[in-house]
Amino acid sequence: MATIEEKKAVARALVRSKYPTNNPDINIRSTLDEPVEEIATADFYNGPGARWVMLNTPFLWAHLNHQELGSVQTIRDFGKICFAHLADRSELFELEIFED
Amino acid sequence: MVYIGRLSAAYLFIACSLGAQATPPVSTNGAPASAESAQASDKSPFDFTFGPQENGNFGTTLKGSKFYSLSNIGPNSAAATRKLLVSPFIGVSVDAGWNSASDAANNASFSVRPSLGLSSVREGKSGEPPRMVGPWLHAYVDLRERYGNFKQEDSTVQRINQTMGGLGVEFRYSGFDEQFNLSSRTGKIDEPPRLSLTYYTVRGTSVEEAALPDELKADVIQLDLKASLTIPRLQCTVKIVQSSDDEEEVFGPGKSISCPWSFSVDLLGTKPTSGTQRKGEVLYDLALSYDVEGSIKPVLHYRSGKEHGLEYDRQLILGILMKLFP
Repeated sequence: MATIEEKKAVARALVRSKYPTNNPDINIRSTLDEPVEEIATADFYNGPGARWVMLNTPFLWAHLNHQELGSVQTIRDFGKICFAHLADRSELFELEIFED
Repeated sequence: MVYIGRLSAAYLFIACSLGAQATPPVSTNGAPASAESAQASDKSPFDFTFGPQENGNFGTTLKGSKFYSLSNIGPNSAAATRKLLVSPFIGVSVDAGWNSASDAANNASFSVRPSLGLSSVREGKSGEPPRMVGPWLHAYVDLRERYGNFKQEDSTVQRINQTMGGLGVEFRYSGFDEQFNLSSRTGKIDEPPRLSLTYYTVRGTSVEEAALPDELKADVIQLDLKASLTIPRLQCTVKIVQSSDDEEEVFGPGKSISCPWSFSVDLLGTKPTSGTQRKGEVLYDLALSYDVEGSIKPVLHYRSGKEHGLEYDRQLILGILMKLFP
C-alpha cells in the first residue's frame, strides 16, 4: 500500500505540471475565472494527467468536476484537491474483493 | 431627480448588504481562506460599477462573462494521449453602460458564444507529469444582441436594437506570468493578456435599414485587446503562511503576498469591411481598483468611444466595483 507521503508527492508533482512555482500561496483565482482556463484545466487533469497517474504511480485519478475548481483560491488549495482526487489502487482492489 | 435619488439609495443598500457579507480571504492563523469565502468574493463573473461621474450624473457599468463546459473527458478517453487538448464550452457575455443624464447614450450588449479552447500538452521529463501550456487560443461563434444610440444627421439621437452574428478567435499570452515572473512579486497569477479578432455581420435592426447610416449596417472586423494586471510593489503586504494539520495539506509553509492595486484595460477597435464609410472607431474601457478583500472594492472607471456606429457616452466613475452572480 502506498504511503501518505507518496500520495502527497504525486499531488505536488501534478500541481507543478500546471503551476511550476515554488510558492504554494500564490493566488490563482483570477486566472481560473477566465472562461477557457477552468474548463481546460479540468480537461487536462482528467485526460493526460489521469493517464500519467495511472501509468507512473500506485494511484488512480478520480474524475474532477469543473465546478470543484470553483472553490480554489491558491495553489495550496489546488494541492488539496489533487490529493483528494488520488485514489490508492490497492485500496480500490480490496474494496472490490469485499463487495464480492 | 426623485427617481435618481431612489436608485442611488437602492444601490447603496445593495452595496452595504453585500459589504457586510464580504469575508477576508485569509484566516487569523494565516491559513488559506475557506472555499466558501473564496466563492463569495472572487468567483463572481460579472463586474458591476456604480457611482458619481465627473459631470455630476450617476453612472453604472456591468461587464463580464460566464461559461459552461460541454466536455466530459475521462481518464480512458482518447484525449488522454493527445498533444493538443480541445475544450468545448458555451458562454454568455454582458457589457452595458448607463448614466442618469436625460439625453444619455446608454447601451447594452448580450452575447451567447459556443466556443472551443485549445491547450498544448508537453511530455514531462524523466517520469514527471506532462506539462500543460495554455489555454492559448479560444475560437467562437458570437450570437449578439445590442442596444444603443447613434446621432442622426440633424444631431438628434436615435435608439436601436440590432442582432448580429460573429465568428472569431482569441489569442491568449499564456506564458506572460512565467516570462515576467510577476506572480512572485504580486502573489497572484492574473488573467493573461488577450487579443481577439472577430468578424460581425448585422442580421436584423429595429428601425428601417434604409434610414441607417452605412457604419451601422456594415460588416465589420473588431480587434479587442484586454489585459488585467496586479500592480507590484505598491502597498503590498507579506505574510508567512504555516501549513495546516489537515491530512490533505501537501505543501509546507509559504509566503502570502498581497498587492491591493490592480489595473485593467480593454481597447476595442472596429473597422468596417463593407459600405462607403470605412473609418475605424475605438472604444476605451480602463479601470483602476483597490482590493479590500471582499466582494466590493473602490474603483476609478473610464469608458468612452464608438463601436460599430454606436456612440458611447464618456463615463468617468469614481465609485464601487461589485462582483455579481456567483
